[in-house]
Parts: sequence; structure tokens; C-alpha cells
Amino acid sequence: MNFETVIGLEVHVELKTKSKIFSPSPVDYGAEPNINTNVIDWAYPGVLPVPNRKAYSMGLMVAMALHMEINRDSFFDRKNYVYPDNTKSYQITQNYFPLAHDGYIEVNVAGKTKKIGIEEIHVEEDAGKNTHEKNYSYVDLNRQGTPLIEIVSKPEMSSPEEAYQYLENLRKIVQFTGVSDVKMEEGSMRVDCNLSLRPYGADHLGTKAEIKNINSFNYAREALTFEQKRQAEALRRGEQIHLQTRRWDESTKSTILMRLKEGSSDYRFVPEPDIPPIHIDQNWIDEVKASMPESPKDRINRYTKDLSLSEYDANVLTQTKEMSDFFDQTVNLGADPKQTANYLMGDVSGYLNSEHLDLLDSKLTPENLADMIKMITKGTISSKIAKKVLKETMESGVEVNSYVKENKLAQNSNAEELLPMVKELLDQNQKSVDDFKNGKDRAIKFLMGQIMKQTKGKANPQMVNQLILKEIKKR
Amino acid sequence: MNFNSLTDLHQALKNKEISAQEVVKQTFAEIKEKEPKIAAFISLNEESSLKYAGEIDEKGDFSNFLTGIPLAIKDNIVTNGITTTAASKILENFVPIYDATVVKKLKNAGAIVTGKLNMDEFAMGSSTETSAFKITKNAWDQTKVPGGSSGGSAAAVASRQVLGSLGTDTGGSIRQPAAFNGVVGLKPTYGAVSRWGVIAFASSLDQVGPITTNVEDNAHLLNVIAGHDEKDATSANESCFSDYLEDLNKGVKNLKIGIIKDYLTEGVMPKVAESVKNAATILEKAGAKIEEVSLPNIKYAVPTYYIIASSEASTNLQRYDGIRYGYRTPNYHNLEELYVNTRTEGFGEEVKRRIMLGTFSLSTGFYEAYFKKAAQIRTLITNDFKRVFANYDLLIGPTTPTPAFGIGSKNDDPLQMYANDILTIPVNLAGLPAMSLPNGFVDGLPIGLQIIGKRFDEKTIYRLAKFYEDETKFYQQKPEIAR
Amino acid sequence: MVTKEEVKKIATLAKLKYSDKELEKFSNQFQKIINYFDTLAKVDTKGVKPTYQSNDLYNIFRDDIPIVSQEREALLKNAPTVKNNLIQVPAIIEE
Repeated sequence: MNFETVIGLEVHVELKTKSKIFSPSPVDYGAEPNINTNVIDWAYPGVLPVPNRKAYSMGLMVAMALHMEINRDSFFDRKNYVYPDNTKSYQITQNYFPLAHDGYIEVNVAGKTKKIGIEEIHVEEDAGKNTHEKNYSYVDLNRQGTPLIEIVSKPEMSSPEEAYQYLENLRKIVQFTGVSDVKMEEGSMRVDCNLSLRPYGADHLGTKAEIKNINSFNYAREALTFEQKRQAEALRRGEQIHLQTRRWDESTKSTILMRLKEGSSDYRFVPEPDIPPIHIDQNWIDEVKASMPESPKDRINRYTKDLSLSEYDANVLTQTKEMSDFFDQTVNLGADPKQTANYLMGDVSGYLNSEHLDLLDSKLTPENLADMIKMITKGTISSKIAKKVLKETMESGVEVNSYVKENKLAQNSNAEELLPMVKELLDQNQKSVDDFKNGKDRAIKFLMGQIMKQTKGKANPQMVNQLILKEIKKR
Repeated sequence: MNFNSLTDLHQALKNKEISAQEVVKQTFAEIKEKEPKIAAFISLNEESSLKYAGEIDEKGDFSNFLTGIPLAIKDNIVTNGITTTAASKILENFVPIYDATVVKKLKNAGAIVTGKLNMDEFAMGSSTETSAFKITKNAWDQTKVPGGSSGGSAAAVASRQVLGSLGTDTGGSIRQPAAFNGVVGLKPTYGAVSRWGVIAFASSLDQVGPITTNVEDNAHLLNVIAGHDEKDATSANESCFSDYLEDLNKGVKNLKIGIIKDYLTEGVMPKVAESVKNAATILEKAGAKIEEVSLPNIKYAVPTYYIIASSEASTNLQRYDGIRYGYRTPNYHNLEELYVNTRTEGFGEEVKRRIMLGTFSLSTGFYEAYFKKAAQIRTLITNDFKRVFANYDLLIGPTTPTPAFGIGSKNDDPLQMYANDILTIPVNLAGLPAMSLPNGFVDGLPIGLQIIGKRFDEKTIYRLAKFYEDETKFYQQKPEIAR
Repeated sequence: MVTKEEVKKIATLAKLKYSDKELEKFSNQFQKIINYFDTLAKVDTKGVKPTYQSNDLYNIFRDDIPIVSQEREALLKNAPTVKNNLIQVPAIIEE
């Protein structure tokens, strides 16, 4: 029997606020254990949550970027479960009236564009972090209370590839809003996958398995592909699929059963009595709209229309917000857009890839890149020297102008200095002059080479070329 | 003590007839003398009270009403550095590291926190018998309960160990013990007093309020503790507050007062009902307009309240797990045993019962029929009050159906105990302010007149209360132990 | 009817335990209270908006300003078991 695959994704995204969602503790859990915690984070007797408006606005921004219907009236609920890193034994989240519902993300598989529905977005708090040793576990509450949004897709993806694309596009859209780093490897984006199979044409969904512990989009695709096959084989053997939670195991490239869900958890959602309801009026929506950064789509338009970049270049530059922002900043400093695009997509990307660096973690600054490109445009340095300068500034962050000056890397474009050299050279190489006049273009390369040798490569090649041609004509 | 009210004591301090240190010394002498009979306190804060009184005397500025005045606090309100237990074994040795907003306000006003008062465990009870530590006795008759859950707060004031205290009221926990002990207890409008630092029982119902020997003192204390607090998202806007002493002496002429018909019938002792009618006569004579009103949905108030309060409590109390603070069982081999044994050993019977009821009411398949249904009936009850308050300034009725009952007499039947709250619960469900004011005696025990006001209109409650108190002088009668 | 099994299940959710002897008495009492709650079933609440909070507040928020509490030492002091500034608990068996 052949089966139809049904995939739904639940994505948690950490919001980059300065303080936690319900307590004023700083959001910075790279810090020492429990240093960024207070009585609220520890759920001390008598404490109360006060929500962070910025976190809600950030959620609102993502909801808008995902074309969602905003619930004008929403509120928080308590989700009850007991766990050492969940200090109140309830998580403040949204169950009954979440922030927004019914949005979509477009994916493009096999040349076809498909809209994947988004069920809802809710705003909630993160838990602390547990680490495990043999007999004990240890709780660090620095992360407790970090604002999260959970983006719940509809079960509308029919292949691991669609899921992969959904995740890629979701990451990109959220990243361009600037509210999150959306990095799987750092946990600022987390993915749970749900997959079930059903016979083609069936109108009921099959029983699903949830897959956790997925650390990259590639793993998500691999895990879903594995799970798809596993369930199909089980069904063909006549087995029943039970509601279950599995985890992706990278070493064996398989999903492993964690637990069966037998209705043992009952979250007893109840409206949060400590936080008044939230009403989102037009002013709030306008405020968020006004502060929404330019979307990738708008950026591509601007790059191709205003800056005359190719469609291809515009697309590559808008793969990440980092890159696109860097490009914009460099161009705003006066660098030629086409040259900037070429350097970012070529030498810069090459360097970052070989060093496994993110653009923002490298030492390159828009100022230095812009200065370098302006020097090329003005003819101050050759493109050959530019390569060297770029490498240096990427590695050490050296200031380009002073580096070029100190190392005397500027080209010689002074005709008054170069002309006597050219004259002398032609005087000494009458044969080459004759060869050129007889149609041997190669002769000029020899002559140029001589000048470059004499100037240790610093003569402006274009200028030398022009001077030689002009002088030969006279002879 | 030689003083009958905070107002008297304040005058004496201001006139330097007595020093703050003398007041504190006398207070602790009284406490030591009376506590063996009353058992109102869970912990005392003698040493630092004396030290603080010394500092106050040194400064010598008694212009603030509360400067140098000893008060006591219900033990579910956290006090920095002073053990706070909510009368539960699960918090037996818990020392808070911050002050509740109300405590901070009292301290800033110069008041001296003498100790923490006994109560029903986590404020769940109507008799202070569910305390894990001791049974507080009624100031008038030590075989009777002091009421609850703020039994310690009311008995300490009635026995004149202190002249003012703070209690909390979730379903009547200030008003009922105030009535049983013949003192003045006010439950403010929901949102009038900050809940920051108040150990949550039922978050949408809990309010802190003052208990005093007379009305004026009560208004003074509310003036200090009420106000907006940015640490409590349910705290009312600044514009909701006014000076509660402002209308104190305006009398009751032309006040429109509704006497709640439904409060005088079922289960209410005829003598208690009679006392309310007497009060109505006195008020009418003084020019108030009195009419009977009906609140048809309050007959559902008790089950409605117990579903909502227990549901909220079940989630509020889930944090007591033995991991971060408080009691931890010695009997565990793994995490699950740590949780279950800590909670099973740490909570008393009544608290566990409410957690169970609440967990049930919120669980899958029952949420709609219980929690949501109760929340809808809460709307009906609230609307009853709204409708009536469109035409009346205040409502009156009894605080309790009977005077204080005997210790141990209702322990076996939780439903009978719950039914005792019938007259106080509706006010919490609707978030309204209400006071219990001494209204004479039935069978030698004090009873209370309940005065219910519009939201944030505590001023008018105090106005009626002050007039009635001056007229009846019930507050001048003191229990034997305080004479 | 709430069965003893159901009462046990609720106790598990609430992280409480009743011995078999206690369970007998408790279940009866529990049933009585639930029966009392059930008297609400007859109230017509069709279309009635539930009340979850008794004030009319909405949109109460804090600005995004971080405050370092400096409470860590005091917080850790209250925890029954602590190691290296972390709260120690019996091993969490992976669900």
C-alpha cells in the first residue's frame, strides 16, 4: 500500500529582548549559573508576573510577517506540568486566545509554489536548563523566563523537502524582522516535527509521532525521511502506530522512541489570573508596522531596480539579514553596489566559509570594505592589491586607509613620473615597438611587464598601457 | 495595653507621653501574657522591633500616624528575614528574602512589625484550625474558633495584643474572623492593595486588608497600604484611590442603602438577622434611605467560589515541590518520590482537598462543566451586584450566619464548613469592597454587620461604619482578656 | 461518579498520594463535594461570558529594562541542595 505523508511543525523562537518576559532579570544565559535570576524566576511565594511589552510587540511583528490574523483580544494561560526547570510548575503561555492565527509560508518544491498554513502563534516563557550527571541533575534558571514564540503549522506538508523549505523560509522571515537570531545550533530556534501517514485519499489523519531533539534543518529532513519510511514499513507489516514521542539520533541516523503518550499528561490550561487581558488596537499595529524592518522581498526589489543588481545577486545577498544589512551599510558609505556585491559574494563569502565564521563574527566592517572598494574605483589600488588588503582587514580588522598608506600599496597613477620611464623603455626596446606596429599585440604586454617590474607592481596598469600606446604612435 | 486604638496610641507618642520603646516593651509583655490563652502568633520579632523602636525614639519625629506603632502581619504576607510559613509545614522554615509591598509600606510609614499571625494553612479555612502549628482561640470565648482564615489577625487585635493587623480575604477571611472577634475588618476592592508578596491562594480573589479596633484606625491603615503597585499587574490605576478619612464624619443622611434580602433567610440565625434589621432602623432614623434588595444568583456563590478558588489554588500551590525552598521530605529515592512525599507530608488535609478539587475542576473533560461554568456564574453574580448598585450607595447584611462556633465542631464535614462562608464569598467573586463592623452580641458572642460598597468606594463604607460605630459604641465592649 | 481510580489519577497529577485507607474516606468526601458542585449544572449560562478577573484592566505591561537582582546567593541559600551554584535534584530520568 502507498501512503500519503502528513507533516506538521512546531517551531519555538527565542525573542531578543533585554529582559525576561515576566520578570526584569536580564536575558543572557551564557552567563554564570543562576546569576540572571530573581525571586520571580525562582517562583518564590508571593511573586507576580508583569509582562514585557516589547516581547509582545516582537511576537506581533512576526505574526504580521507571516500574514497572520491578529487576535485583537488575547490573554495568557497557565499550562500545568511539574519539572525541575519549570519553577512555578506551570508555564505561562497562550492556549485559549493566542496572539495570532491563520497565516502561511510559501515553499517551492519541484518548481511549484505551495502555501503551508500556520495554525497559530503564541507568546510564552522558556524554562530553565537541566544538566545531567549519574545520580543528580542540576538546574540553571538563567534561561527561565526568556520570551518565546511558538509557531504552529497546520499539518499541510506532504514531504520532508517541503518541511525543510518551510523551516528555511520561516527562519529567513523571522530573521529579517530582527526579533531573533533564529539559530538552531544555539537554541534560539527549536523544531519539533510531527509526522503521520494515511492511505491516499483517506480523510482522517493517521496517528502521529512527534520527533524532538532536532538540531538542524538537515536533521529535520533526515529524521522525517527516516520516520516516513519507518512508519510505512510498520503499517505494511500490519502494525499500529501509537501516539509517541521520538528523538533524532544523529549517530545512528534514526529516530528513537522516547515515550508513548497515554494521556498521562493533562496540562489543565487555565486563564492566568495574575495578568490582565491584552487588547491590540490599531495604534499598536501601526507602531509595529512602522518599526518593521524591510522584508527580503522588498530588498530584492530595491537591489534590482534602484541599484541595478542582477536578480541572482539580489537573491544571494538577501539569504541572510546579516549579509543584506552589511551590503546596505557598505553601499551607504559610498561603495559601488556591483563591486560590493561581487566582493561580498566572492572573496568575503569564500573567506567566511573556509574559516567557518559568521559575517558578524568576522573582523570585516562595512567601513573598511567601503574604503577598499572606493580605492579601487578611484584607481588608488589595483584589484590585485585589493585582494591582499581585503584578506588583511578580514583577518586583523586593520583600518584599510592607513594600512594602504603604511605599506605603500597605493598605485602610481602619476603620468609625469611614469612618462619618462615609458620613453626610456621604448628607446631601449625598438624591436618591441616595431613588433607592435607590425600587428604583434603581445609586444605591449612585454613592455608593460617591464614597467611593472621597475615600479614593483605599483604602477597603475591602465595608465601605463595608455602612455605606451600614445608614445608608440608618436614614433 | 492602656490604649484602645491606634489613634490614641499615636496621640500619646506624638505628645511624648510614652516612647516607642516603652510601647514595644509593653506590647511584648502583653503578648507574652495573653498568648498562652489566645495563640494568635506563629512567630515574634521582638529583638529587631525593640531596636527599631530605639531608632525611632532617637529621631523623635512622630508626625506620621504609624510611626512607632506595633502591628502584626498575617503569616501569608512575606517579610524579609522573618520566617513566613502561611501556617504550613511545607514552608515551616522558609525565610523570605524580600518584603511584600504592604510590609514595605508599613515600614516606610514607621510601623513596627512585631510578629506573624496564625491562620488557616494557605488561608484555606474558616476557623484557623487548619494551621499546621496551633489552634488560635476566640478572644471572647477560648472554646470557640476565632474564625478564619485570618483568625490570628482578628484575635490578636480583639485581645489587644496589638491594636492593628493585616489579614487577607479570599472568601471572607478578614470579615468573618473580624465578626467573630468583635473588631473592624475591611476587605478592599480587588486591585486596591498590592498582592506582591502575598502568598497566593486564589489570585483573582485574594486581597489584603486591615483589622483594627475601630473604624477610623482602619481607614488610617488602608490609607497607608492601598495604592498602585507596578509589581502587581492586577493593581488598580492611581486614579482609583482617595483619602479614606475624607468622608468619615459625613453621617448617613440621604445615603441609599440596600438591605440584602437573600442574606437574611436560609441558614442565617434569626437573632443575627434581627441585628441587621435593628441596624437598618438606626440608619433609617438618621436619614438614610433603606430598601430591601435581592441578589438572586448569590445562592450559587458557595460552589462557584469553591471551584474557582480551588482551581486557582491547585496551580498556585504546585510550586511547593521541595526543590528551591521550604520543606523537603527525607523519604525519597528519586525525583518523583521527592515531589510526591514532600507535598503529601508538607500539606495538611484541607489544603490537599482543595488542590484535589481544583485539579479535578481543571482536568480534561471537566474544565467546561466545572471551572468554566463557575466562571460564567461568577459573571451572573457580578451582574446582580452591578444592577443593584445602579440604585444604591451601599448594601448591608450580616457578615456570618451565626456567631463563632466551637473548636472542632465542624471539622468532619467540609461542606458544612464551606457553607459558613455564604455571606462573604459573593463580594470576592465580584471584586467589591466590604467591611465587617461590630454589631452587638448573640449569646454573648460578637457578631458583625457587613457593609458592601461599590468598586473603589471604601470611603462611603467608612462613612456609614463611623456613624454606626459612634451611634452604637459596640467597639467599647472588650473581651475579658482585654479588660 | 468519581471512582477511586479517578481520584488516584487526579492525585498523580497533583503530585499527592493517598494510602488505600485514606483513599476510601477521601473518595467519599470528594464525591460529596463534587455532587455539591454539580448543583451548578442547572444554572442557565448559555452565552454568558466567563469572568476570570474581577477588574477591568487590560494591557498592563512593563518596559523592557533589565535589572540584575543580585539575589543569587540568598536564593541558593534557601535551596535544600546546591552544587556549583546550580540547584541539585535527583537525576531526571529522561521522560
